[in-house]
Order: sequence, then structure tokens, then C-alpha cells
Amino acid sequence: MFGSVVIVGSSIAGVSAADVLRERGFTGRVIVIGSEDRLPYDRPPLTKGLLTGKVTAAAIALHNVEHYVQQNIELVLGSAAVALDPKGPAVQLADGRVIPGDCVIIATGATACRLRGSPGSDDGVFTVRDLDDGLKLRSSLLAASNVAVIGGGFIGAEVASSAAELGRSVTIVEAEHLPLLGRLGPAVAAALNAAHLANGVDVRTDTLAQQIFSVDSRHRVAVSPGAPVDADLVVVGLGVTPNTEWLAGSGVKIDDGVICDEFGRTSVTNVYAIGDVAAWRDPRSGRFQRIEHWTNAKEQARLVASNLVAGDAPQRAHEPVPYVWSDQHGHRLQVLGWPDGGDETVVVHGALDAPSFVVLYVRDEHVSGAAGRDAVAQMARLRKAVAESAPLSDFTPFSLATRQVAS
Amino acid sequence: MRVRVEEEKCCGFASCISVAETVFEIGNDNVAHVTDETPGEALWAAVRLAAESCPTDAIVIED
Repeated sequence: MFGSVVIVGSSIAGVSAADVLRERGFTGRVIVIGSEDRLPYDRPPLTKGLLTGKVTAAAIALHNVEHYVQQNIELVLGSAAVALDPKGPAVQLADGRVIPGDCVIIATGATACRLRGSPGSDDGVFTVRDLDDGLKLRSSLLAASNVAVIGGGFIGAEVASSAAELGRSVTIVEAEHLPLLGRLGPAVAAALNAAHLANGVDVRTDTLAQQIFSVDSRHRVAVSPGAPVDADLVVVGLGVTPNTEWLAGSGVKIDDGVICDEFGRTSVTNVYAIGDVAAWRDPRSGRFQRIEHWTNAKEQARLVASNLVAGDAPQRAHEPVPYVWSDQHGHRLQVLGWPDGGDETVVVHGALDAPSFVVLYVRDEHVSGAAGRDAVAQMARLRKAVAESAPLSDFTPFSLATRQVAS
Repeated sequence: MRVRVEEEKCCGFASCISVAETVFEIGNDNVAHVTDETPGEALWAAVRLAAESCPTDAIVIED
């Protein structure tokens, strides 16, 4: 058993790992390092309730301060980790402190990509990753009338939806033929796009954002092809890159994220990685996959912490069924499994042009994923089928007319 | 045992209805609701499992 565990990162992955260590009876030191000088908070509301004003900054704290005192979890906040010494191991902070531990869990997350050369949030061009981003975006949104959203993925769609709900005029600039086309396929992407249009959001598809010109708090987004998009607020949702720079020279193997086996172990002994920063080996496919989902961060945290406490007992591997939820235009979207790997989609509940639907993604006549809108109970029943790649024949009879081969 | 759902936390994962379908239901608002706030002792284990399996810790049990 370890005497101390140092967790680098204070978001959902890091804090969950600390909580599970205590829950499982770990009595050594638990230290959580966070680069932001704030009590750890939950990120999903940043693009949803925090923007629309339904929740406050105080309400999204993961725990109150008493929790950390009671659980004897030491928070080291306000200074980022800048290096990992694999011997020990030990974590060096930007302010010069060195924090040794018998075991290190890397949970440093990811940073939102910016458009090359674009101005920062102080100038009205935002990415949404931190609470500071969310709070600044909220106050800017209240003053804005025209909003440009670059990238129509989950983050972009949620920001567009929140801005439209507040009555703002919104334009999404999307490089693909439809937002979320690559992630969710043509049928579901079209259904979600229709919701944008029905709520007054202008979607410029097949359009690349090239540069942002800013003068006196007004922004012009140069796009190709077509006329530029003018806005007094720009939000960039172009994906994230894992925060691994600080691990340079540590010996921890990096590719797209920290390479880990199915137990979260990195290439360095007693160093683990969890959450958005980590690319775990999927035991089914043998591939290393980085899953940028909230529930995955939590599941990996639970697994690594439980295995650490269990010590030499047989270790439990992680076979995730990716799950993501997104609230857009008053509807709840849920996605299970691997929708991007499907050959075709089959509607098994509702209809794609109705508010509520469930679609199965089918690969080689087996279920590889599912997407549902306003169909929470139906989606819950599909989790097992997706995890087990159930044959599509389990779902017959269904109308052939609802089958749509991916183009 | 008293059980409640903090509805603003619910992300619709709905593992609760898989393990304790007589205590929880998914409403038309796409979040979980409690149908039996004081479940009988035979259901306590299932309700505890539901709380533990909830990814957003939206289920609160007051003993």
C-alpha cells in the first residue's frame, strides 16, 4: 500500500480519484494539485446553465471546503504542474515547490484549441474550458446582440443554443457539410441541424473560419467560401488538445494524450493517467483511445483509485461504453458507444423529424452505438445492447423504411 | 430511509431505473424522479446501488 498519492489536476477526474481513495479506506496522504486558484468545480454547466443564468458559479463547486477537510484531502491550488520527476516520483510546480508522492495520478485534462492568431477572451473571442471563461462569456453574452460560433460540435451547439435561448442572433460556422456529421452520421446530424434552424440559428456549413479581425469590440470572422460573419462576440469550439507538455522529459509515453494500459498505468511505474488527458488501451479493439467525456473521467478515476487500494488483488480493467449528453434547444441529446463506426442507422423509437427519437448505429448487423433525443428511458435500456454489440436481429421487427445506409 | 433526486444534477444516465425501477422513474422532462420517497427495507440495497451507480451523484439518501 502506498503512503501518499499525488493527483495532478483538480477537475472531475482528479477530485473523483481522491474521493474514491478515501471511500475505499485509503489512510495515507491524498494531495490534489490544481492550476486554478478556485475550489474544484464541475465543467458541463459552463456551456449550459451557467451561460443562461440558471446556475451560479458557487453552485457548480464539486464539493464545499468542509468536504476536503473532513476527508483529509489536501488541495494545492493556484500553481500549475510544470514537470514530473519519474524517480520518486515527484511533481514540480510553477511556483518552485516540489511535491513528492509514492504514486502520481495525472489528470491534467485538455486545453481548448484556438484559431491561429485569434485574440483572447478579454477581447471578446472565447473558448470555453475554465470557469473564468464561462463567467466572462456569460457577462459578454448579456451585452452582445450578434454571436458567431466557430465549430458546431457539442460545445459550439450548446453555446449556440444557450445564446439563442437568451434571444441573441447566432451564426455557426461549420467546416463539415453538417455540424457533428463526423461524430453522429448524416441522419442524426441533420436532425440536430434542423433544431438549430428551427430556433433561428444560422448555420453556415462547408465553411472554414480563417481569421478573426477585431476592432473596437466588433469582430469580423473571415470565412471561406462566402461573406464574412460579423459579431460582437465570438466563441471558438474547435476541439481540445491534451495537456501533456509538462510531462516532457519525464519518460511518460505520450501520443495523442498519455498512453495507458486498460488499468490506467502509464509507461512509468507508479504513474497513472485518467480523464481527458489519458489515452487508455481499449481491451476489445486493442486501440488507444482518448475519450473526452465526463462520465469516462469519473469511471477511470474510480477504477484507478480502487485498484490502488486493492493493491495485489486482481485488478479490474476498464471497458468503457462512451456516454455523452448534451442539452440543446430545450432537448436532451444522449449518445452511447461508437456512432462514428456505423455502416447505417436504424430508427427504433420516434422519428428523426420529431422531438423524440432513438437511432441505433449498426456495424456488420450488430449495434455499435445509439443516439437519442428526449428519450432517456429508452436509451438507458440500450446500454447493455451497445456494450455487448448485440445483433440487430434482437430489435426486429422494424420497418425497412427506417433503415438508412450511411453515405 | 428517505431518498430524493437533485434533479438539476441528473444527466439522464438512468442507471437508477435499471437497478430500482419501483423507486425511480424518468419523467417527460428527461430527468429522474423518485416515485417512492420512503422505500421499504427490501429495496434499500437496490437504492444504495442506484445512488452509487449514478454518475453525477444526483441521488441523495437520508437514513
